[in-house]
Amino acid sequence: MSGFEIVQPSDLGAVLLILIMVLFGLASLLVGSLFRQGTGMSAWISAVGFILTGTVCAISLGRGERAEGFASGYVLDDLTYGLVLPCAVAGLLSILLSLRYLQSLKHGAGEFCGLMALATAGMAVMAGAQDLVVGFFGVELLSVPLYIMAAYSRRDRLSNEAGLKYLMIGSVSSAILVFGIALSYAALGTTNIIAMADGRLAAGAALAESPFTSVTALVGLGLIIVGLGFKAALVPFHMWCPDVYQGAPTPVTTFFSVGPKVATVGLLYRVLLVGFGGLAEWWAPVLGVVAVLTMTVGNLGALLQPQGKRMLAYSGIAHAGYMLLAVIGAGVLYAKGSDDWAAASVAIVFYGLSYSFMNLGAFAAISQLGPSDLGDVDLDRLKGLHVHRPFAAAGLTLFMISLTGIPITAGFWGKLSVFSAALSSGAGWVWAIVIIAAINSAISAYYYLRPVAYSYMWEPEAGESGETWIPTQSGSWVMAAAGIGVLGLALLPAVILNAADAIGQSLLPPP
Amino acid sequence: MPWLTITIFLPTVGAALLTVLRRSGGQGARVISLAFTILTAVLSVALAIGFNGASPDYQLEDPKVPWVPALGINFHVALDGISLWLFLLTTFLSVIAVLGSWTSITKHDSAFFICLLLLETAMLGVFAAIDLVLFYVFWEAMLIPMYLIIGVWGGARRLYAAIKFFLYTFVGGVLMLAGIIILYFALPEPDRTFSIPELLARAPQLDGSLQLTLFVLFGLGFAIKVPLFPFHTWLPDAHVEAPTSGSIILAGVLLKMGAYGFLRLCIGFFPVGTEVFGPVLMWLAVIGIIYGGAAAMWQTDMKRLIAYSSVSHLGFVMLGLFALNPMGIQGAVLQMVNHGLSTGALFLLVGMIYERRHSRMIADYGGLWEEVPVYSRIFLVVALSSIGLPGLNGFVGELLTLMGTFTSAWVQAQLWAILGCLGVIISACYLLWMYKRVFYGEPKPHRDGPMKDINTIEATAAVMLLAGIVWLGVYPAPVLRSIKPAAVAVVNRFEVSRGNVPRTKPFADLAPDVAPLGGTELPAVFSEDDEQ
Repeated sequence: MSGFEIVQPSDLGAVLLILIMVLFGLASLLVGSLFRQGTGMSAWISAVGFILTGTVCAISLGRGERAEGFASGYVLDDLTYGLVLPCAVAGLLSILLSLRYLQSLKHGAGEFCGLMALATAGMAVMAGAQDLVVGFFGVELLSVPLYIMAAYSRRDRLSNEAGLKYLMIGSVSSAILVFGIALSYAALGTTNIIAMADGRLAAGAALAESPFTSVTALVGLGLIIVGLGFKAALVPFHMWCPDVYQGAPTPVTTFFSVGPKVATVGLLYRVLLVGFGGLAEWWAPVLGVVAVLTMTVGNLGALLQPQGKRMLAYSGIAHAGYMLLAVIGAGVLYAKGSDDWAAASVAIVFYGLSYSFMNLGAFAAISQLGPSDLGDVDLDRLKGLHVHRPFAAAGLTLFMISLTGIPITAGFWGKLSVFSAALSSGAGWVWAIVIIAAINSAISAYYYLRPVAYSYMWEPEAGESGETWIPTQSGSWVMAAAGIGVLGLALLPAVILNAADAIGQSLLPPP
Repeated sequence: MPWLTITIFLPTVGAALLTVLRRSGGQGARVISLAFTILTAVLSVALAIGFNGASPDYQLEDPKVPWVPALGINFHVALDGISLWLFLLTTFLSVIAVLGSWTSITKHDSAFFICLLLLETAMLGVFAAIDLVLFYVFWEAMLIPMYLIIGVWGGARRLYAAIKFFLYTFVGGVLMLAGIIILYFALPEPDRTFSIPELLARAPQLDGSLQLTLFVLFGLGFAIKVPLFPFHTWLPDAHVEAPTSGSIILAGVLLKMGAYGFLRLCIGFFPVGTEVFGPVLMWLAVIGIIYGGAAAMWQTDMKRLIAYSSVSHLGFVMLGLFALNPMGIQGAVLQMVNHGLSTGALFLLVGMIYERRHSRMIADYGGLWEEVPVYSRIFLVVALSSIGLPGLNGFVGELLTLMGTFTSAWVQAQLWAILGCLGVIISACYLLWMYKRVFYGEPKPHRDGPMKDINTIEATAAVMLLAGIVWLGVYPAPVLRSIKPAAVAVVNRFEVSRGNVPRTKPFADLAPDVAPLGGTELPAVFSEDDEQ
């Protein structure tokens, strides 16, 4: 193909977001390693990269434009913008939140910020990947910085364990993903998902001719789901998640918990719908089972966790399950031959954005519960918080009820939109899954309200010396920004939800 | 000016003001919240004066503001003859709640009044919303302030009671959310809407089995809220542990939201579901009346006794609603208002002596008749109104719901009505027995010396409630007259959507003649009372 021989100027336009993140990431990395005192500067450089990326996304979202590049291996459409936006928001707030941690590091503080930006570049690759190989490339570009970041505190046993665990699981899942891609290439003759959908998976023709081809394609698809399932911590591929979240330094966990999850679910959505839509009747029920398991195991796991990061790890698992509801709904509609399936895209985008705000806020609160960013903190340190820190307590409450999905918060609209995306399919078994999801969100109320109860309904513990809440300036800023985000999306959800049509239309090339 | 919206959000403005001024605390917080609740109440009365009671339609409607155009969600509020009275009840009881917590709230007082004011906005919104998603938003938004009110300012087992209240209500809520979205997508493409008036016309045409599913998804949340037996177990805990004003709001308004939901959404949207599940709900209501009464009889804690009496009284409301005739529904709506006043007053009064003696146990009291004469006499009137003594408000509501039940078209209607009457007798037993033990007999000396009688603030609140109690007992006609068109409309829609097939009517001559559309007259025995 000629497209690979010379990089066209239009190709560069298509990878604009990736370019921004990579350039700023490299600059930050360079500054951080060249200058001893470069920590602050490299943090700033990464932050500017995030702000620039986020601004481009926010401005472009809803225009319905579509720019393909690299022989249609990558696309910059509204879904890409919508998926990168939460990643950039989460990245920016994570950088801000990590300032205390960076000051505690003897060396490597500058590189840390660079790695964050590079990982976000990986998310941007995943968000717009229209080719399985490009998607895999994105997954790796995301994972390698994360391996390093998880083990960033080398002298800390838990952080080391987290890094190693994540590296092992990550490599295995990458291998599975590659194998799945290879098998589907063998069966379908292409790794480009648009070509896939137009070729052997086109409606009606779907694999009827050869049983060998169909089995190979299905196994390949299955392995792709498993590989991405590991990355997004879907049950039963989630076992690494609580340990890694708990062991990694808090800012790293914060960064882990949003971007990678949103980008992976987004990639899964694009690959399954745009590429493997013809097999939707196969994968939708499988994904249904995975979603039910993910929500239920996540919520039950979080139910009795006394420690903050571990609780949020399990809660993150559950939220990935809620996001899957939108993918399932779209799949069922696709299998029915309806053109409305693309409406589900906006649900994923909205959920991702609301999740990035509320989860970042929650982590910012957790991080201020302890003097250091290593290890986990007990939630009962929150007892009596509102007596001395009324605004912190109010903020924490806001994030917790948003995670539960209670109005008036962004989390409520997120829940409403994924439920709508699933229920628009009208299938009976999807109703059942949504009802299970609804009951799950009631279960989640129990553990999300525990921090609220600690901070309001207990009196501060007297005997302990010193205050348990150790305010950091950056933590307060992140909580304030996340709070504005949660409330802003709560009052004006239409800012994102109105982009529904644009996101749906730009998802596919014009016929 | 969008006066209805302004009225709804006025308490929120008050809460915002308190947040800004929270350092002032103390008396200032009380005065500000009293001012805002009174202003809200005055505005709501002004709105009610402009309300045309002869029309069954939604009135006082504010311009529709698109909220999420992509999903057809609007900010849209209006009132009809049914919601108007619940709206007024809410603004009225909020004033009482502020007065009732004047001296009883001793810690974090600005935070308390912020919660109370936010709660008022949410409650007003539930009754005024005519967009289904907006209704849901207000319905759930009320949970957090109430959770905090019970959990922070409540009694000894407040943590348990708060989370129990929250989880019970929230389970029902999320299932309703699933139901709301299923309902939206069940309608054919161009008809999809969340607007309640439009859904009232379209939803009843849905497939029967779908209606049954949706009735369950919606109804479960409402049944928990009412609460119907066997979903009532959160209620005694929440009522007992909540601070006085929390109990007033819980019993006075929150329970009504469940009944209101049944009336507006379940009966309005799903006639097939109503017909299938109606008898089940009637039986549960009857069981609730008798069980709640019997349980109240054996309580040693006054608040718990009143809590169980609520289970019993809300049973009458449910009987009236699912009698599905104008008289029953009218009675039910009136009974909701009555129960709000009477039970609100009972909780207020018990709160007063709790504040003085720090005990709610019946056994700790005796001979208060001599000790606190004014208080005792007020309590007597309120207890009698709760029992349903003619001349006080409880009587009118109970009579109408029972008559409505008796004349309804269900096969077992008469049986239910008779069993319901038993409930009236039981309520006389437990309330009067409690009254005897607390107010008569030997005074029990207390280390703090004799009890102080009612003070000015308490008296103000009590007199306001008494005025309502007596007014609705003596001259309920204006209320009933404005509920009537809306109630008739509900019944007509129900009958039309089920194709006017006559149901079994054993006492056809007594039953109100329900014409397909318009012109429905109530039986003579009732109209006289009504028109005078």
